[in-house]
Amino acid sequence: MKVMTLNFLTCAVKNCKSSNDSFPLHPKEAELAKDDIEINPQLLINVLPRIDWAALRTTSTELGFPTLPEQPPSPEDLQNDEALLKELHELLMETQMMEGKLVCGHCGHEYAVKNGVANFLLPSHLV
Amino acid sequence: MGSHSLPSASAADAVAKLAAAEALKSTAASAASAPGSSTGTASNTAQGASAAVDNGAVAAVPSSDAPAVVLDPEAEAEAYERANVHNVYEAIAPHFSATRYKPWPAVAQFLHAQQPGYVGLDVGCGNGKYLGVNKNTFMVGSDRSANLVSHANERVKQLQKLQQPEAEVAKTQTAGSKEKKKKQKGEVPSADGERESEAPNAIIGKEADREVAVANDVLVADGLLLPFREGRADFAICIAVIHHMSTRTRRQEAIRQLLKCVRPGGQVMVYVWALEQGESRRGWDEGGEQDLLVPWVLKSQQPKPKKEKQPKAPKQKQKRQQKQAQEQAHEQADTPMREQVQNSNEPQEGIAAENVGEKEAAPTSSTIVPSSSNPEDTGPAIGSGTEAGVTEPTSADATATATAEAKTDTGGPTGAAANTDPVFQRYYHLYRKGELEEDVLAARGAVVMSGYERDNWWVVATHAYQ
Repeated sequence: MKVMTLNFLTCAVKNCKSSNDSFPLHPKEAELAKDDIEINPQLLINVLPRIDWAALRTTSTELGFPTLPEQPPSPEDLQNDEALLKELHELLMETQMMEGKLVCGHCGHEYAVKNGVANFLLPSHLV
Repeated sequence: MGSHSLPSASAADAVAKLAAAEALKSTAASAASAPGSSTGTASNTAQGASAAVDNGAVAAVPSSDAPAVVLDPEAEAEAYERANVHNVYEAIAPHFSATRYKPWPAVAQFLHAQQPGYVGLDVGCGNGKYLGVNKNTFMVGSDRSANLVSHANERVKQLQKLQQPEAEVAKTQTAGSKEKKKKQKGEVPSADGERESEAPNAIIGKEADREVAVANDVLVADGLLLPFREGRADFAICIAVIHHMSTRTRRQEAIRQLLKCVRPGGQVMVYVWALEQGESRRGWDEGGEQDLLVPWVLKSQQPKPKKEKQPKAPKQKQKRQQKQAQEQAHEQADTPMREQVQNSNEPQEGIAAENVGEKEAAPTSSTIVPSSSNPEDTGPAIGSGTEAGVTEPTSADATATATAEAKTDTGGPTGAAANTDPVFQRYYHLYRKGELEEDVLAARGAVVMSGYERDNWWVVATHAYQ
């Protein structure tokens, strides 16, 4: 489970979708790993506007990383600053949550992450 | 493009950050998560029909307040699909995965048309064969089958490794296999440039020939209860999935959910099996029964192992043995279900036909059991002549042993076919011409384009303007 992916996920419970508390999901007992992935500047620069930056800051902090700046970098920033680009790449694409749970801030349901894969199937009482 | 892992200052930073994160992690699940409890493989297959329960998440029938026989149509449909789709895929995942690695041309075209930086979803991603097509997009695949997702996850890792030098090795190994295979089967769609190979790393080799997308992720989710934020994805695909849903309401709801996931103007491609298959050997065509149980013959007499390792074989083997023992005396202890591929009866169609998409191992018309009634909008198909079921009634379905369930529980294999390989029955709704477009409209979508490709109907849909 990449940090990037977390930025697009919410609780699978229908009633939670409309709540602001269901996003982002909160990592709990997270074990992280780092994959070695080739950097793709074109992808990163273009994907940036699709990122919910505030949520990314939250996730990043909750995973124990230093606080991200309040505002996202601009495309120009990324184009001209290789170190910045790489840092973003490492956070979004290379950082993996291998084990742990993702917790909905609205209903409190915990989704298990095992072997790097999150499971969003719901128990019957939540369907 | 880009560079390989640069030894830069920020890399060191990242390591430090990760170390910090490590420190934060608490008691951690690792100790508790023995191999068997991980994303699925072992636990899910251990009990056939109860797999979904093992997985901790059945969209199940309420057990306490509903008598088992009085199921509401939705719950009944869910139970039916659990037995006739989900559990089957859990059980046949390695075999299925080993036969699925050729993208459909229309799908590949759709994916390549997406812009750099687009974020896409692949709902019902199976083994993840569409992850990695367009390297400038980020794709998240989801599937109901944890076993298939674990295959998809391996694929994601494989793709990530392609950037490394080993990829070159894979490339040379598979070069040249293409022409030979094509001649053999003589049934390859001309439009695709795919190749097949029996080399263990055929998947890698194929990808290595072109630019490879390494930005992918996978997760386990139900197509009707997706965890994706609404309106955030740029596009979505749903290939060979909704034809497994047993009521029209559910199929339309699935399309509705896909549309909800994409932003305004975002496109959704849906691909389903067609009723009109005049060109195929299955014998289905216009006017025929649309709701079928289609056999998947699980080949266990495997001459040699194929790609797609199944790391958690032990429990599967156990299950396999247990099941096969019910049907055949001469079980071979060391032939777990994995990695069969060849259809021994029709050698040339074994791998070949398999990989052209949603094809069956041996779907001869003689083993197809049509359902008894037209279940459209009225609930799941109830297979009348389904000998299929009988095996392994399980606790998972104990609360849902309605008649349909009891008669058609095909979570386990049967020896119904004229051979000793286990046969799993999967439910399909075959789409007639125009039906997919109707479903898109019913889901409040608009049809951007649609078409027919080799026994399948497809549509590209977007939000209807309100």
